[in-house]
Amino acid sequence: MNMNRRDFIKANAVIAAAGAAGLALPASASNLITSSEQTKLEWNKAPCRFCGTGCSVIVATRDGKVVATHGDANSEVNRGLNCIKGYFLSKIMYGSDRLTTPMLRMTDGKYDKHGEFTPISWDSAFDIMAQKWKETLKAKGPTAVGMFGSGQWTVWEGYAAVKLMKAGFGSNNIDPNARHCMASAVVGFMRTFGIDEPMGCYDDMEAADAFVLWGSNMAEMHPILWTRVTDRRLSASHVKVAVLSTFEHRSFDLADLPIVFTPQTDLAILNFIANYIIQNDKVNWDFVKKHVNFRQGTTDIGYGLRPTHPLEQKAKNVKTAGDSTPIDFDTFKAFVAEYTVEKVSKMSGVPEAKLIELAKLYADPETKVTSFWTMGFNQHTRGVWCNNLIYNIHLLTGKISTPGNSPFSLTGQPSACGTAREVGTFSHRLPADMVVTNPEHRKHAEEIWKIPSGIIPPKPGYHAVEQNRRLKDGDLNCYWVQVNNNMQAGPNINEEGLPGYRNPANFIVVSDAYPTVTTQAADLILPTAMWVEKEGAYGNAERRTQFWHQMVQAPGDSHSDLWQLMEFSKRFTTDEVWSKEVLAANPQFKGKTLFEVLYKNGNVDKFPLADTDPKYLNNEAKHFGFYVQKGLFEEYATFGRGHGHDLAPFDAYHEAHGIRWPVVNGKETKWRFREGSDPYVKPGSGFEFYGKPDGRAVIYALPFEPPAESPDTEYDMWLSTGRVLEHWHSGSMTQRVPELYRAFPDAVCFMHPEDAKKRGLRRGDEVRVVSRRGEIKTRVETRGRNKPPVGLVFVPWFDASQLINKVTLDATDPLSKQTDFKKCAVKIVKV
Amino acid sequence: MSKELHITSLVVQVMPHKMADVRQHIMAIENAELSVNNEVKLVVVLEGGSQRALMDGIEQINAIPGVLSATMVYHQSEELEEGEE
Repeated sequence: MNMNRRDFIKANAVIAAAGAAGLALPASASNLITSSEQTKLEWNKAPCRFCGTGCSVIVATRDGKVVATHGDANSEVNRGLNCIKGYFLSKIMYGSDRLTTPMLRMTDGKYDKHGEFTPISWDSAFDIMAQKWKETLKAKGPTAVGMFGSGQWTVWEGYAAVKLMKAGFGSNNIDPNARHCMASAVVGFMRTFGIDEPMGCYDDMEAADAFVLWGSNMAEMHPILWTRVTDRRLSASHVKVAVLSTFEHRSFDLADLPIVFTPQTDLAILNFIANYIIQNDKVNWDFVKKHVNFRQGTTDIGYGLRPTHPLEQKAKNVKTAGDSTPIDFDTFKAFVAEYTVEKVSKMSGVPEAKLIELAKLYADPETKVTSFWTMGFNQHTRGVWCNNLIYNIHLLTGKISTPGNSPFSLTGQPSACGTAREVGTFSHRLPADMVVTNPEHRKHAEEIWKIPSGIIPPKPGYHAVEQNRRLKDGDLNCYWVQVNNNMQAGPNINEEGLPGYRNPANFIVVSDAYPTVTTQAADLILPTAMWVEKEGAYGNAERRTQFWHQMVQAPGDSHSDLWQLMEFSKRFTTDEVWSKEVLAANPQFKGKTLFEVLYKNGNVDKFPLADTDPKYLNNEAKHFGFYVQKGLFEEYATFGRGHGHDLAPFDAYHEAHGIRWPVVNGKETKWRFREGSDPYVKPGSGFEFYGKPDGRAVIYALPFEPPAESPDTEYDMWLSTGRVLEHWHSGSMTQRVPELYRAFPDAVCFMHPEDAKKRGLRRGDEVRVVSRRGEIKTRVETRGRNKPPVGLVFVPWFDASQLINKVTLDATDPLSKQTDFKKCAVKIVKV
Repeated sequence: MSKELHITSLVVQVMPHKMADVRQHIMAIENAELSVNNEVKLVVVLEGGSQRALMDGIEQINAIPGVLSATMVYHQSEELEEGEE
């Protein structure tokens, strides 16, 4: 036997870790050659399949199977590190229950909504789909068909889907699950800056003097970014970390300034900070005078519930919720003056001294501040306001677009930015920040897509929550869900989710790699290739676009979402979907299939099969006969080039480990809106917020308003939902990795020991978490990583056997239509 | 009979004033070996007969007061032959 083998492996392990940590080893230890075992493996780069951080991983394949992954040492994002989910990426494709064949609910060989799932061929699957779609389009028109996609779609899948829905079926009823995740951030960006996505980048983390987390548990949700924040905090003693949340969590371990506040009072705290900056003469006047406008936003805007809900009927300005009027600085000053430290301390439960310490971080002109937020701000019935209010603070002090000064909206999904937002897979959007309500934007899109004018409808389609309501009401009848598990992720599923899927008038198709709560609620299940089973592209939170090659084959008859979308488009001719008037005016389109119109239009089929890299698989290119991904990407990129959204040429991304847009003259952009860093900023202007016609960002006067539902005597606790480190979203992939499953097998109800005691509960006791809408059974956890204050419980949502979204409320931000999953009223009852 | 050998390395971030305590704690964990460190970071190598054993070790390290994060970097598993240790 070889006595050195163990030592050899250990030495390799140490070298890798020391390299990633930036720690020096004695020279003798760094002199190893790759082991023979490793040389049998084929290593390639890919972005991680999970969150929006966008870590790059190196994927090892052997004999057509992914066998290992490790952090990419050449990635600027994660520098060789991997979180526990990324570490087990190689296992997510090999769960024993992968779906491998289309399955239709059938009885006696025929489709039956109440039948059993029965394997069928792709041909039969598309037959029944096309039949249902055609019947519905004929009877009710394009508003009765819809699609629910994802921030996990690759860039070209999202793009192909938007084309199929908006340019093919003439329906705007396409929305991504990113609606649950990033919609408030998007509307916040559009209102304040007129252009989506952060101005800064991850490099801010090494430059900041202070970090403020607003409703973000980065330690568990963005662990690799958190290691960078931690590195900065520990290597520079003056650096401060403030963590704000409605309950104590793992990120508090690093906090110099830990703040637990009463739910919804973040609105008041944000206004207090603005008030403090003004009262203490810390406004950066040079910046404000040149680069900022002030506006007063509409108030009393409702809670995005059904129009019949009493709260909606009571609200005065539901229809004009997004309006605002210009004001001057003095009016803004007077508006925030009521948010004094005394008043806000009382509202929020945060001691005055802590509020002042927090405000000072922002007010001190010498302190470079990076603010991070995710779902605490975005999943909020005033989420857009929260986003606007944090920008207020950074704009008042001019702390923006310079290294370390960065209001930074983190993302939850790997391509929430790259696909959902940049491609524009929302019901109101078109690529590159354009919207369907603008006739110029529709015209421009129709020209690039080479389709007749008048195909894209001017009215926004149904957004995520509205889709569920319309399915239930029978207005939306043919529905295709791809790459997400909305029956577990969507709010109020008892009342608004399941009834729509099981409505006899509806036909529901769900594409997924694994059985989920959503596939179980479907009528037709389509087995889907995932991650490196196809060529893909994702865009992360810092505007970084990353590509990967197809490395392995998907099991059985699985096909990618892209293949499914394009193949389905062959089933329709223009005569079946477009109006007679449009076809009469454009006879050259008559009789053509949607596949020909959308994907063989001279753009998408421009690059031959020969352009693909022969070293890699590419099922889609081989099947359709041209380099599909490149054609889709290049057509899509024409929307943004020259308009502040410039993407690099397709091939550049297969070489680089991600490139941040806008990419101008081959150079990426790290900080937007600042002269010298962003090529779009005019010389001599210093800063330019060019998303707005006059180049000025907007500071909004927006007040505190109460949440849709608060605890009362019967439902006496706040419920917040969220994630845990080991599981990503609904757990459909991570629950299949035994190590991750074991690390956090079942959801629990985190609560304060006093709240438990009051109810006669002990740790581990079974309880019911009950709201006005539904209930689940779970177990009490009074210790562990999350420590709620008295009066609040936290229940994670990854566990399909404990569907906490039976309990949540479908109240949304009226501007962004994003659900507030962080606040509703429940009671905890012993079983 | 063949046995499995799993080896993984971790980068552990530590509150500087707790570094000495954390190192003591890790030394007490069976199959954990300390490698290089500076005042805020250290490298640990874990070894075990199964991936689960490694996960338990990682969990133990994460739970040590003063540990801010423990991030895995490298993992290799091997089949050991009879008599090999």
